[in-house]
Amino acid sequence: MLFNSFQFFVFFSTFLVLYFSTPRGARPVLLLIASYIFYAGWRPSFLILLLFTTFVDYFSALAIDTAKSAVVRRAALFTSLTINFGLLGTFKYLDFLLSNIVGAAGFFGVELPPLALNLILPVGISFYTFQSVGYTLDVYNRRFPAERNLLYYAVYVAFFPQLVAGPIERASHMIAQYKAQRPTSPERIATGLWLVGWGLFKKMCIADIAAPFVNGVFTNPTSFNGSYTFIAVFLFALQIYCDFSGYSDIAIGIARIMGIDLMINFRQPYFATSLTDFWRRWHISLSTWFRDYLYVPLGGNRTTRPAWVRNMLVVFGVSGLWHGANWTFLIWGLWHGTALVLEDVVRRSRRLSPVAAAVGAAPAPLTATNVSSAGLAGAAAGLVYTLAAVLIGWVFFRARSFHDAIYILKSWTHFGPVSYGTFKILGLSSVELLLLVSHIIVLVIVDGLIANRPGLLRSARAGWILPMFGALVLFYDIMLFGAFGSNDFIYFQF
Amino acid sequence: MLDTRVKDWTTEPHGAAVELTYSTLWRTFGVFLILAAAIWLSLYAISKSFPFVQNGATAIAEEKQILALNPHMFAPGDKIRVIAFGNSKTLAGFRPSVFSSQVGSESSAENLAIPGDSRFLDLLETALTHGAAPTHVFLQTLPLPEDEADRSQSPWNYFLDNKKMVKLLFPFRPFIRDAIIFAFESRSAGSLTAQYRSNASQIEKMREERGYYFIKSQSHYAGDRLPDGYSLPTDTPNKVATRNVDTNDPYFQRLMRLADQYDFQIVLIPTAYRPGEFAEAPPIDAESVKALKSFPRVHVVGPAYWIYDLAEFSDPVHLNMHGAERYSKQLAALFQGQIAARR
Repeated sequence: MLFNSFQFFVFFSTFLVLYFSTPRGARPVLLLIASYIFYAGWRPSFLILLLFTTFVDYFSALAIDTAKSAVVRRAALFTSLTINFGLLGTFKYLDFLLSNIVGAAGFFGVELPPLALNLILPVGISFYTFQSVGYTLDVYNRRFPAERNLLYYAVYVAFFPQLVAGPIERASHMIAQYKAQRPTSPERIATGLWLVGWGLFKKMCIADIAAPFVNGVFTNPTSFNGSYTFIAVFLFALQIYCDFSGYSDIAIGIARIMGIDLMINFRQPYFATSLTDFWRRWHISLSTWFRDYLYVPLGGNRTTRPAWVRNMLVVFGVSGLWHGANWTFLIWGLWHGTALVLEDVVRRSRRLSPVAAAVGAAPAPLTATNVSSAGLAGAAAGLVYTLAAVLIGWVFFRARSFHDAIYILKSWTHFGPVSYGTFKILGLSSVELLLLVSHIIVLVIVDGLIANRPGLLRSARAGWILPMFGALVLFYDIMLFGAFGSNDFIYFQF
Repeated sequence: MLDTRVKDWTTEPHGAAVELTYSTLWRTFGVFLILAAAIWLSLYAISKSFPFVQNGATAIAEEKQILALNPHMFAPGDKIRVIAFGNSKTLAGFRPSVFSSQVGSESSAENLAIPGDSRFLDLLETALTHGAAPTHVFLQTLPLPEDEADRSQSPWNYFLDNKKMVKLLFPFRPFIRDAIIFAFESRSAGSLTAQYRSNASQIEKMREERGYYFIKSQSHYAGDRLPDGYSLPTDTPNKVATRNVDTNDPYFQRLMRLADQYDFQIVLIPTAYRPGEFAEAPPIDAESVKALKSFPRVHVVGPAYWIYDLAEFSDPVHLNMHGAERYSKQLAALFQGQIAARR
């Protein structure tokens, strides 16, 4: 059941009526039932895995919390991690591993038959596994006590707005909210609805309109010259942002309507003026997960320089593989890790070298306060550099193979002519192009306001007439120009 | 430590603004619903009032419904009565007047192709039940419905299909897009009124041409012909295109039932591609012949496609009038040679 479907609209409307007419104490039960129905909508058998993960981590955490001996605590943690990562590895990485074993054997002259289990990847498994593992680790590290009530824990794992594509939440943030059952407010309902509308706009009016062109070029990139591949990569950058941040906005919005806060997942990442800044704005819930549960335990930056470089590459390499079982994802992660290390080297050299210091400090984030011409030029240069680095990364992320990615990068040395006919055949006719460009302009303006003039937006919603007209425009824009169909969110595949 | 808790433009306090109350929220919501309904009614009324603002595809589809309802589609003396179905390639390729003049005086043809939609059984059934009695039904491809939901019109399947649902709830959805195109095209026509009249006359012309329609709106090339050397990155000049024939498909079986019930033959005809779009096709579409050999009412004639000159295409996909004339003549010759002889 996709957020951008009429089925979800009916499901959520029915759920809300039941939710608000149920006594507060019973709401978690309803929430859990609704979450399981929502998840079973994809494939009922997936529910078994979700239940299994829930039970394993619930009892593991209890064992960790109540155990007197360190050995038992470690054994319980080990059990939880083995089962969680074992399941994730089996469903997500086993075929990749097997195909590489066959390939490596072939390289050494040993012919093996193709080995593949072809298991269907349960939707959202990477998200709920990480959320559940995060909880067990928190309990083990005594950052959070084990939850005694299975109901609250099950809701924490299965909460339907963020179950299949995040944000990856923390138990310390969520379980208290399920227990408190804080009443919602008109403010929450209004802003929640706005977030849902804005998320749908990003998904249906930008991401899904750009998707056919992007898919067409990436399916067979060698048929296209550099102009097409560049446009496709640029559109993919917008598509993945609008798709994923759109999903997060909808998730945060529908949770907020119920009176539950989810963490923010994106902060206008393409306004970042360095890659370090970008990673503070992109998929924040995953970045912070890796920071807290992998980077810091590895030693973080409180270690030697070589160890820190290793930590960065490990974290970003694993983050790349988290997205999918393909070498291209690993390269994407390592590309970002390496670039961040280099960025740090440059930053340090600026501090050490008087010549470099004279050239200027690292660009400050582009904000309303950063309006001096020197600051603006530095920020603009940082923005262009970051965008270029991110676009190169997206080539590896989206390409079907390493070979395709290299072809695309090479094609940028020669930009050939483009024809309207090709755009049309790839799904961008004149009207679609016009709509896409208009919607991108709206996105840039609104994201720019959110990043730099949030006060303007807040004051704009002080009354009721302006927000209502805004909602009308948004509603009809989505209904008249949005892409309807069965367009999955990109991050479901991860 | 990076603060990831909820602090964003929607939640942070907004200074001296008045706090939102439930009464304000419900009032806003009520006004929203009233205005949304008013806009819905206005757009619906406008879309119905200006039928020739809608894009060619929609106008053609509506007109084809009217043509299918005509019990006098064929004259009593017509011995060979052909209806061609298909998508925009058939629409812009098959000229009934040229075809029937080639086949002979006792023949008549109608083009009931609809752009963007090669599924045709409802339209065929409408024509059959309203008195049209074709002897031959021409198809470029055999019907391949996209999915199960397409085959069933049950409310549940409707509900599961977001495209159908939005079409049902906002029937004027294409109208706004059409109006944008209409406004663009009106620049060349001189005015909005002139463009409206032009659209109306094109539909009238299609009626006179028995359903054939030249898709001028998609031709952006001088003389309505593709320039020399034209190609697209999606072309596969070394690949032979094939037609997928699925005789187990319920849609195909429904077509067979209709053919038995109303006694007509089905003819799988070639389509036309640009040079380089695909490799040359074998002279006989052997795979389709093999797949259909146990269905005596279905005849496969000629290759799966012909390759025509670039000058015979008005855009990357569709034939221009010159190309359509050649195609219809070639089809008539093929038909006479293989089908008429069998009769």
